[in-house]
Amino acid sequence: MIDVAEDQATQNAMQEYLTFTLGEEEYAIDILKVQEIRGYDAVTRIANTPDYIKGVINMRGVIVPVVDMRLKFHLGNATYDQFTVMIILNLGTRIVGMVVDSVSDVIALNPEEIRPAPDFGATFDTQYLIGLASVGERMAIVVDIEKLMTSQEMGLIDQLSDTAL
Amino acid sequence: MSIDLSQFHQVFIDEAHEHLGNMEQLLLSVDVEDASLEDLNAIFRAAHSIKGGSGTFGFSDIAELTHALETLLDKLRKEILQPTDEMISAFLECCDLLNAMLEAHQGGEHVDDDTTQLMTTRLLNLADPEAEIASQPVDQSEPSLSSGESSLNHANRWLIQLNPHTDLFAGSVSQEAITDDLSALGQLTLLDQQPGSRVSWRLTGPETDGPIRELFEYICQQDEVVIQLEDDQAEKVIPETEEDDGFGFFVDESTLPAAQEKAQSEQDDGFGFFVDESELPAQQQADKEMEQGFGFFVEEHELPAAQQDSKASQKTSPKLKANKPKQDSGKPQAESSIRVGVEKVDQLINLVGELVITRSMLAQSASALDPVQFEAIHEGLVNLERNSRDLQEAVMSIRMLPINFVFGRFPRVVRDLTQKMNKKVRLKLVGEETELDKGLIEKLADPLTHLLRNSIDHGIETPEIRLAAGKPEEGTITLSASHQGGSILVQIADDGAGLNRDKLLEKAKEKQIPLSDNPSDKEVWQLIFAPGFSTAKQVTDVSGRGVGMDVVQRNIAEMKGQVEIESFPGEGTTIGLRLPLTLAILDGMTLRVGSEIFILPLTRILESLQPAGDQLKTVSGKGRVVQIRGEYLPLIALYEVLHLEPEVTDPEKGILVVVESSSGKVALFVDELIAQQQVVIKSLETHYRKVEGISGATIMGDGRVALILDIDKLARMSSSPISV
Repeated sequence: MIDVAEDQATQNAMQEYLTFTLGEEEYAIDILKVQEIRGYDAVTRIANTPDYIKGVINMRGVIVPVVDMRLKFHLGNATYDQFTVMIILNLGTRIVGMVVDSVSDVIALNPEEIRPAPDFGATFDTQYLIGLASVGERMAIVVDIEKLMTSQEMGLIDQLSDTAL
Repeated sequence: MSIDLSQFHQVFIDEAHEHLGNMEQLLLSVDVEDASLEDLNAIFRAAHSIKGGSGTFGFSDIAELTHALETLLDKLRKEILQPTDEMISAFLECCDLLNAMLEAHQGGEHVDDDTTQLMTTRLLNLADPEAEIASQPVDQSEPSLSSGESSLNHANRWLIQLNPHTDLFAGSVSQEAITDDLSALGQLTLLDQQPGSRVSWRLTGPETDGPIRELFEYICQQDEVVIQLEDDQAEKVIPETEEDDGFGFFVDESTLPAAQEKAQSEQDDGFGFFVDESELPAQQQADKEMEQGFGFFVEEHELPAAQQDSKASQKTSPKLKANKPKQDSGKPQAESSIRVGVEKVDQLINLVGELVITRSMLAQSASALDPVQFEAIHEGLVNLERNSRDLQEAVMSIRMLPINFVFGRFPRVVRDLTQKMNKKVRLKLVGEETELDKGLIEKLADPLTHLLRNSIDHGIETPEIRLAAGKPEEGTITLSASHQGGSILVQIADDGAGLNRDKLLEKAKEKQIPLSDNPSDKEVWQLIFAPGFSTAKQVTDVSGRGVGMDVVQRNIAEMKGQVEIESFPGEGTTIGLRLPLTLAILDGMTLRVGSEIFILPLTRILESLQPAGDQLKTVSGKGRVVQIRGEYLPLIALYEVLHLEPEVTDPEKGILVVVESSSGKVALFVDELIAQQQVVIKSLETHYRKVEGISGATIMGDGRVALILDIDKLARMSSSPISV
């Protein structure tokens, strides 16, 4: 009985994460932030933007920017073929597409299973990291994707100074 | 020009209610000890907007009251006076009074000036502490009453409407019996009586509707009687104002406690004045008679001469109350139109846009099919196209209105203002049929009113000065609207004195607004947008308080538009409001550079040509120009500005599109023109951000995104590549 109750408690605390790879590394993001996964095609370039902002796509009538994480963080080879995948993220009011090497799995993690990341100067600034989690043999880096995508570093959002008159 | 202004009354009343709501909210949040200037400014602006609107529609009583309100607020805003609790409550009561006045106007009635006058005096007294002394005796009576009065406000007022299926009173039921039973529960007032036993009362007293319902259980079916808590906005005002100016005068000292008690319980019904010890029996008699349905005018013959003064206020109360039943009867009218959230309409427009795109994708794939074999499919697609186009137009038209809806109000404003100021002004309206988004129209009304008032007050000179300056006696203000490229330009041009550069500079120094050493005209003109900036010598109720312009700019900026000022001394001022066509369909020209497709607003295109070698010239350090019929136009290679890989780099092999930009004509060099096409403008900013040189995006028939070029920005980008 007690076991069941405990199980229940851990079940409740469990959160699901989507893992994807960038180069050699495996990353995990909160699955509730993921709207869909789709192939990469028909991206319209935007002039005078950094190379990792690939442009915009038409997502059923909504115009959504696409970021190539491989270019942004210099990981993996930025090739575009029929296997290139894009994770469409829904960050509150904003939708952003993110190109990664591959999408691997959906995992459930307990908050305790995510250990704080050591300050080792990872590819991602540690302020965007939630922690590290081991998934079987492998290790996944859990990323606060919303914080990362809305950060000034990504340049996806007009910063306040730009919009002020 | 005769325009029925009443069609706009509802708009104004809705707006005013909104402003009042805002004001109330702000007032309630004001901390008397440490009021934020921002809040005071916002309250002030709300009052100012109501004043402007009411002036337009000839609701002079509202304008007068808001002017007094403004005067006091202005002193607070400029920190001449410190806000006090007393002021805040005066403001709140004033809000209530304004609400009541609006409701009265809505019902086509006129609020008695005296009530307004009293509030006005009170506000002005607060604004001018010295003058207040004179009215102090009046104020003294306030504290003793307010405590009782506040508790009374908590007493519930029930609105009872009897609406029987059959004429009850013709049968076994006696109306008298009902009224007797009801008055046993509390203070009863008869509001309305119509044939067929349709009667409504107001009952003040019981905490729940239980006892009232119980009573009616024996008389009629449950659905035949409506019992509801009354919204007390309209009524609350009257007793309070009455009390402020001299309720105390009519109460005999010796009878004060008893009279007060009685008066308080009756105040809500507007009878507070008639209490006197000797009068009590008569009063009761009056109550009784009133219940029989004789209404408010019964007491008149019973009034001693000394109470004549109070009649004014007495008149107000029945009138305001008369509104209640009126509003009910006004309801069916509203059903001919419905208020729908803008976001619902937007969603519709988006969905229809999707439908159109899906249709063209279908059409594209179907075009590969054999027309003979798949005749039905082709026919179906043609039908689908027609239907979806009609649907799109219909949905779009929900939001589009001719700008006449705003312009139409102005001839009256001009007439009233010019009469008031002894000026002669002719208003010319141009392009009234220009259609624009309803949301924009509503938001345009306020700024345009401000601008027009400014033009008349500050711009146009008096006839004498005009004649002396060799100008026609009558000034002209031209109000024009036109589509210009992807935007709408609304201009107010006057042929008045123009802005006075020196005066503006002087004022800027006085206000300590930082300026560069040798400011350009443009910079100087921008000064008028600073909050509280006014060069008017005296504050009139028209303008000169220095609100207006900062509100205008704020409103226009909210619409993502720009305000442009042009002014020449002695010749007049033109203020242009450039507004984006937020969700209009754009007539565009699709063009190609390399593998990318772009859209150019069709209205901006003057011509396109393939230049010969001798038409192209290079200006050292300035880039290339192209000579077209004797004119040298700067040549902007799109692939250079947008860093694209073009198919051709030699203008002789590509196409030059001559377009009109805000900084003059320019020639855009592109690979190829594809087709003319209508596109639905979508914002890039929803999920991304502003992009330099791009005004928006659209979705093409094949589902790809194409960017819409912002010609003005492109011209600027290429003309100043170094400074960026």
